Amino acid sequence: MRKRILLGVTLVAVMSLAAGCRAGPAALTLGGAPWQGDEAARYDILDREGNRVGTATFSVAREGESWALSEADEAGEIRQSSRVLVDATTLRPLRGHKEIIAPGTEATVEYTYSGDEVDINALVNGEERSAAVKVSRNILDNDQLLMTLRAIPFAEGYEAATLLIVPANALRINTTVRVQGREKVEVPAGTFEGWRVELDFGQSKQQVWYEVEPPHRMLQYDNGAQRLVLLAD
Amino acid sequence: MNPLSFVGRPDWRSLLLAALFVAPALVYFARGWLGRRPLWLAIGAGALLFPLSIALVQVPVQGVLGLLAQALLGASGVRRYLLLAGAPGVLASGIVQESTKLLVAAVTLRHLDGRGNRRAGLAAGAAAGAGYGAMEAFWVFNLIFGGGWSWATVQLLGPEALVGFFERLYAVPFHVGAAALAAYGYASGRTWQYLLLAAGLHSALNYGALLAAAGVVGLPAVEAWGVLVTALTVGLALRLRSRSAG
Repeated sequence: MRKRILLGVTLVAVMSLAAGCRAGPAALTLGGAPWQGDEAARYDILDREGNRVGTATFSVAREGESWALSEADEAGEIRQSSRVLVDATTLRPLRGHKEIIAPGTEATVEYTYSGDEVDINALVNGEERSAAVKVSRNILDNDQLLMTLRAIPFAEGYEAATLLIVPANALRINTTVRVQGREKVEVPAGTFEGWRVELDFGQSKQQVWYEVEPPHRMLQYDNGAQRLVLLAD
Repeated sequence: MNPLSFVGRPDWRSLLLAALFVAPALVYFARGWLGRRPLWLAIGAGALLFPLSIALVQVPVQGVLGLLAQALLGASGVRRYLLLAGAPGVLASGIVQESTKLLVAAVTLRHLDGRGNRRAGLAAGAAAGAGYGAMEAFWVFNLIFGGGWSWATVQLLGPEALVGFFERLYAVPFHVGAAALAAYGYASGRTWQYLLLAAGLHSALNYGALLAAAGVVGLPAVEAWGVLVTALTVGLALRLRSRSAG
């Protein structure tokens, strides 16, 4: 009996160690900003059946030594908007702001990246809350992810890791980015040659397609439940 | 659905918590039998069959039931009559999961030479349920930790960020208790009655999620319902255990 319990405990310990000792891919590298100046792109949000359920707008604007990456979307009864300031050279996040309006929830989140942590202050349904999350140097903010990945070194088989920070929920997600190859992508804006990129969050995967030609506009994004497709200018 | 998706990127905290959550109920129901090898194999088989039964049986069956509901009621009808349209899928989850655990318990009982021994039935069922429930808990904890959960999440979101852990506190004993009930029925020659009872209780537990999805009740009510059904299930199994003493 004791032997069996000992065996069970040892098995759990070995599996735990094995789970914690997996080597990961190299850190994500970002080139310079692929956009040259202010820009905006509009997307339709489609459900699994292809029905239009909302719209999203992504925009980029220069602000001194930073780029401001903004996103606003509306789908059903949920409206969200975010604005993340990123360093103009490294494209790493500096600070951000997010607003979420959903049935029963009205939240505003302000956060600042400083040193090895991000300080988050939120106002949720009139209640003030705050938290701090430890971060590393190799991070991206969730609300800058889709635009910033336009700066990765696109090449088939490219694989890299980053720590994704979701300030609205104080989450840190180990994320692997994989360039899976080139393919034709048909969206309302036209037909383009695109890079298919996989976002591996460990427990789930998403797909995003970027135009092969600079400035590597995001053509399509599929999060498993909904799809964003680029609209004509 | 790929059964391997239930493992994802394993986190040691998920393993540890799953083992901790399952230990009390397992030790209680299976005490006296924990030295027998078939019981430990039942735990392993229960854990192995959790992802397989969900991915290869439950999800496809629910998919077909969902399509049938769509064909009969249309998309707007399904939304309008969600409590009715979703009921067959909930019932399927109870039947598939409790049948799977009973299958493991029945094989275990044969290896324990325990057919007719009701306490052995309870122990074999508890072992199968423990493996099954522990694997489900491991998967849920993995989703939580893999999603980047930390104490900061609780600070920012409040108690809502702890719901996933709280649910496992009763869901794991529920798996153990319900499987023990079904296996008790098998050992006492009343397989169908007790299997239907276990599946019914399981479906009742899961129906809480449908009530929440339909907006009938909020999260606290769903959790209270889960605790109530679990107390009923485990209480019944405990009573059967005390009645079958000696």
